[in-house]
Amino acid sequence: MSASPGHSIDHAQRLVRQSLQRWNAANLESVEESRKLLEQAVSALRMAIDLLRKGDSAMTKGLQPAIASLRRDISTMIRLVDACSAFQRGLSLRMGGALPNYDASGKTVGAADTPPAHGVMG
Amino acid sequence: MSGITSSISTAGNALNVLQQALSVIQNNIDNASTPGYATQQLNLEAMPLDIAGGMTGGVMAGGLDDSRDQYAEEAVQSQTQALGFYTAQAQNTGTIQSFFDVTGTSGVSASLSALFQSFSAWSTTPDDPTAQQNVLAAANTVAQSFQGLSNSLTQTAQQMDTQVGSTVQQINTIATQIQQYNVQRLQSPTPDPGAEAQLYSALDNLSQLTNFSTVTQSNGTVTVLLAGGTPLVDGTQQDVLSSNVSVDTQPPPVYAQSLPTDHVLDSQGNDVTSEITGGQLGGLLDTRNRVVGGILGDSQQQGTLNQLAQGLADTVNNILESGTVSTAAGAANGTALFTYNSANSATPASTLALNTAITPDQLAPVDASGNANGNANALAALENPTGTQGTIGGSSYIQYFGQIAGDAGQENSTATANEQAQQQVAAQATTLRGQVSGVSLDTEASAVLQFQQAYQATAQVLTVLDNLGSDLMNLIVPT
Repeated sequence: MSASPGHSIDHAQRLVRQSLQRWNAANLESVEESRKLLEQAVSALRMAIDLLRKGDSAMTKGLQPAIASLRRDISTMIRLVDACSAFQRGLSLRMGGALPNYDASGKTVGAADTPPAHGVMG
Repeated sequence: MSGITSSISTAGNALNVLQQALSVIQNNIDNASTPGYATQQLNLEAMPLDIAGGMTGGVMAGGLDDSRDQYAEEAVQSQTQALGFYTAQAQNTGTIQSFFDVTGTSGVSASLSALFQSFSAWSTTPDDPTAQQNVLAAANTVAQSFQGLSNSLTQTAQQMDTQVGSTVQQINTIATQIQQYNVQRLQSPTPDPGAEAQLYSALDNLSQLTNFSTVTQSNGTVTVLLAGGTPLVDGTQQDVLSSNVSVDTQPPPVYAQSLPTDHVLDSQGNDVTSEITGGQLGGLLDTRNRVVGGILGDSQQQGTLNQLAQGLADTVNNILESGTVSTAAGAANGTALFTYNSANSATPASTLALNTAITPDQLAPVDASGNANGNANALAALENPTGTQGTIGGSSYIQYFGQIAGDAGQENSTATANEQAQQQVAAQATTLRGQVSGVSLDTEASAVLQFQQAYQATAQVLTVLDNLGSDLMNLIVPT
């Protein structure tokens, strides 16, 4: 791929869209993959900015629609992640008002002991 | 009971319970595709074992638990309500936007340009009959363009009125289903999984149509409330909604003859329109009352299109009527080029017309000071006005129309982007509901934490990405 700001922006948009498609809020692996794609998009955008800063202003011609489109996709992704975060925050509250804390041994701190299973009399 | 008999009885009882458990599983499988159905689980309870006391132990069937999680249900309903709103908004603003020619080669925009060009041509040859006739023809086209746009928007508003009415009927039908569930629930000591599936399917359908909240009462009935607390269903009572189209009376109307707006009423006749802020009905009401109302007017505003039509007609007429048809002594005064229904300030766009009383030679190019083509020049200058004459809010008439068209386009663009984003959000809410349902949240606390951390990490990358997008936009030269 030739190094031009336009190519980098297009590449970043492809990555954001892949991230959007890959996102499955109920699957940690997919969330992780989605995040990695976004990190690659960050690199692509940084490259675009470097190229623009080094190049002349003529290089910016015609880029506005592509950047606007990219920003719309980023905005969609932000809404999606915000909504999923809100869901989990609500879930935490529903579970008792706060997320559990863990000690060094991995046990929850401050939580009541698990109630015993029904015993059999006799 | 002897030992062998009691053992056989215990074993028989256990088989019986097992049979019930298998029936529950079979029922789950049968209903895998039933909308609103939640997996059921039979609670098995150990019976006390105390041989000396004659208690032989074993197992007995407890009640049924379903995997439905109220929080997750509400999260999906809330996102579906937002999706319904944006979908209706996108669809209807799309129709409105289609009436505005963005290329400027037809419609009001093009006809305004043609009118100003005809003024310009006439200003160079004020006595030329062809130039005069061209002014009249261009004015007629402008008037027809305004009328055509106004009529198209009015028809769209009427179609939306019909949609509002049918959506309200659908809401009432679903509310009846919920009310019937409540009746059934009061007659049954335990919830029936099939009836519950129908209830939640009905609530899912309702969330596509309007925003609401639900409260499950201690007797198992479900109360459905609109946003302002108006009960749609309360126990065995249903509040039947209706719609009407009327001019707002509160606050007192400034434009009493304006295009009426849509209202939703409860069974007592109270206006509950402001409580409908979500779902398809919310989107329809918003587009119909706010967007169309902004263009065609309502009880409190004249409407941008009417403002433009009246501004144009008044300005052109005032210029022409202030002058004379020639510089000769005793020359006739100028005649108005446009007419509109001045008795109703809410309808200039739909009633704008070429003055039928004017003939080409009655156009008055001479201004009040006696300048031979002063008026014609003043009219030609309206295309790019330098003073306040020929402007609305500092914009020329062509620019002002461009703003109306631009606003309509922006409404549609925003609604479409919202709809697309909300489709993803609603789909993920459904996914998360599936993840939460049937899971013990006590044992899933660590998973919730992991998900929160993963989302947070993604949100941080997105913040960086958003900032970079903003930096990038600031770096470039606008094109």
